[in-house]
Amino acid sequence: MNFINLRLAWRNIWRNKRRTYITASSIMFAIFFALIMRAYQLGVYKNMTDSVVQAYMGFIQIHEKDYWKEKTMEYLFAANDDFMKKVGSIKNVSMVAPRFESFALASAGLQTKVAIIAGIDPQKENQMSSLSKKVIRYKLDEKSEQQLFDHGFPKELISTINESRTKSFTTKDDVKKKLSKIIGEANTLKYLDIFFRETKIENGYLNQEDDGVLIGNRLADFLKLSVGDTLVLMGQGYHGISAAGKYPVRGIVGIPNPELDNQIVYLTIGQCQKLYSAENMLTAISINLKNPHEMDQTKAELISALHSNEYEVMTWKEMDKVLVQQIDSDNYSGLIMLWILYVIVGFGVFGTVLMMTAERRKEFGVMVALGMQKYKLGYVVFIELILLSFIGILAGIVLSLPVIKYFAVNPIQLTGSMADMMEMYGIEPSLPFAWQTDYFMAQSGSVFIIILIAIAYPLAKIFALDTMKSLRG
Amino acid sequence: MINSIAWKNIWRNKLRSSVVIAAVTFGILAGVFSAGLMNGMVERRLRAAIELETSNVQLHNPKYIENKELTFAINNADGIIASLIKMPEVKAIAKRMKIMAMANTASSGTGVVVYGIEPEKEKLVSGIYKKILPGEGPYFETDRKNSIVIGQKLAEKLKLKLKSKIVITLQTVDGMMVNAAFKVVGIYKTSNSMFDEMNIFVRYNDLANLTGFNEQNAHEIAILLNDTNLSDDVAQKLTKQFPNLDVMTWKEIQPDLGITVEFLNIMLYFYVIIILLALGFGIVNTMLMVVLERIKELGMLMAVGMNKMRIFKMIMLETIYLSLTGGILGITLGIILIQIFQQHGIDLSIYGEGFSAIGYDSMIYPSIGIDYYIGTFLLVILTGIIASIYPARKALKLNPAEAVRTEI
Repeated sequence: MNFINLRLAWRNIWRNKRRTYITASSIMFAIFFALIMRAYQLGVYKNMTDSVVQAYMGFIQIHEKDYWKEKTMEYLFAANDDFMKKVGSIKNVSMVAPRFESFALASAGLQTKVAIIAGIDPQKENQMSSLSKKVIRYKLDEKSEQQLFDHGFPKELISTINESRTKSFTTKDDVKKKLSKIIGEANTLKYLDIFFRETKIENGYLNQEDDGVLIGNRLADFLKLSVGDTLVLMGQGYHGISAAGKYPVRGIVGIPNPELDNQIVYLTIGQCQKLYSAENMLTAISINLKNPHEMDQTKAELISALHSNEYEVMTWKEMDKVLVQQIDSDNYSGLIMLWILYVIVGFGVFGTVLMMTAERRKEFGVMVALGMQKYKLGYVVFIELILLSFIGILAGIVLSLPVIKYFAVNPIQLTGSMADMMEMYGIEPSLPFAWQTDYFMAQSGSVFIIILIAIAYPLAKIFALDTMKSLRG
Repeated sequence: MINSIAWKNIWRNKLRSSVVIAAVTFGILAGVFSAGLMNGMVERRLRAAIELETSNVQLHNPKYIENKELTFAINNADGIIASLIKMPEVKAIAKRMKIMAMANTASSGTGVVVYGIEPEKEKLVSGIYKKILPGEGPYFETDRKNSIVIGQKLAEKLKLKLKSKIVITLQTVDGMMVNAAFKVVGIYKTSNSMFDEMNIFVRYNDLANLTGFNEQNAHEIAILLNDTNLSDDVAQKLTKQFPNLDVMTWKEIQPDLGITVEFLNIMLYFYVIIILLALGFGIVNTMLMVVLERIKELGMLMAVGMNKMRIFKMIMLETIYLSLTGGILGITLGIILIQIFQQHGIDLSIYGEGFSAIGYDSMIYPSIGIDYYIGTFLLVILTGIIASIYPARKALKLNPAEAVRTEI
């Protein structure tokens, strides 16, 4: 029975091919645009949150109560092994890393700059944010540019690389991959060895008892520091004691978040506590999760496990409210645009089905006169319209898939002033599209709902059909 | 003749035409209004930025741009100012020192940008003095040495109140680090919390004395013009006049703002075009229906001698009228809505923190130039024309003899 209705509906929609094509294509167009827009937006949001959460903050942090509001030396706490074990034993917690964070003036030679001083446990930090993978091993600077040029590396290629803003590389593969994109594969293969030789910098990661520092790539550029040079830190320590120290630079790390990259100095946590005269004290414990979706639940578990009012447990959403709100407000404006599109498509579909029912009044009259029940007739028409929308939605998805996939794999790399702007907001200047199923469902669902509303009226018309009149019309 | 036939034809099927017109009205209204919102937001931001942060044009020592070091100054800034003030485009000029420093209090410390300003001249260029919070200080009205004006965000961060002491650590001309205590004489708040957190103001001579900086020099010369649109012209002139200085317009000083303003127009039209594209499908669809429905009638008209050009024109006019009616309705409603909200403003302070973090006011007063309405209007007509081509061609291909015989 069902099958017959379906076949009837299918044949009906192909009776007027042009109308089917037009209606389906207007739905397809809406879905296509909605999906591309959504993929772009969600991709940017993910990029924004990743560069904050995964690279540095962690999903949840524990501090002394009120620390986050003030972020001063008055809110330090001591965490013993028991404490760490208790935190680590919570089900969803994958990593626990101690942190000691403060500000200081960092100077080298005549340059001075305010820096974020992060005391870390090198091993744990590495598991948490893969810091050692961010260590830069090949870097194009003025000196290496000259050397490259002397060894026959064409000048145009150097300036092409400079324009692309990709001048630091972490591994040999990284060099190969990025250079191929910038100067083409043939050129890359030809000059790869020279490039490896001339741009290599001896760079290390911190070991557990290290007395050196890792500094951000942009900060290194500003302070004109390279590996092996000495960095001086000056600031205010625990209880107002002045804090000063001299540290050799062990390595340079490229942090995706430009704002951090411009300011960060990593020390081992022991050295950092010594610098600030705060032995065994921490500012924060940073926690990574196995399943990020259960963040709030894990936070509740942490609070009850600590059962003390001396600590505050915060998720990244609470810590970086600005980011969350920026995303939210952008998200709203995007959603408004989407709903405008949906409503317009709704009108389009409404117009089409209205016409269709008007045109086929006689046919409907004949069917009813021949004994087809109205509800069955309505059912067939309903299936027709559903089929029509499915065709449109599917076509839209199929059309958008390759585009989204392409930009998900090859994010748009921004250059020039647009990139500067993104960096100013602390976001990596690349625009990867999001590649996940949920928004495909959401978009298709929304369009489908709009279409359902649009077809309610013509269906009602069928039920109010006056057989005699329509037969004569 | 054809005109009035086309117009009357539209109203032969009221319901169908109304649906299309309603769709166009809604689409255009939504497009115009959201454009007004975005434009209003950016305009306000732009005005605030020029008034409070960047002025129209700034001069620097080219080396200072790369590296904000104390010694990379503009030599003989006073002389340059004296010659610039004579230019007719210039409204006001101020010189500033601008240095990176650490600000410490008993409880904590942070990095800041210290401006050394001459309060009386600065008032003519920058509106910061208007942004002092009520009850939060006399600004630089008293002659006290080592006075300082800070932003509210910084005051919160460092737990500072009016009359609190703050210690500034900075480098002198010969590379030594010095500390100096300043007393807070004013707390300001702009709509840009990033700015409020970073920038503090002290007297020019206090800062110059502290660092051993030559008082004739400056790091920055800020120029306010009578008309913002003149920025690029004036900048060009100045580049020629002072080849060894770096001349920047507000667009270059705040590239994000420059880009936003430049891309805004494209963005606004982009939205309307997407909306019109979606509407176009609906219009084509409807007009096609119109043609197919009237095959017999069109055949008849041809048979009695109406030439094809006229048929084409009639269908095209019907389409244009259809979209234009919606377009005019939409634009009119849009203007009314924008006017209403321009009076009262739309309060987005629920999301205020996020907006002010990127420098935008949370009150939005939508506004948009007349050229945008005209542009939208023309685009609507264009949509009507493009949407009519296919259905009108369909009508042209009809064979009168067959068409007359068609039974619908």
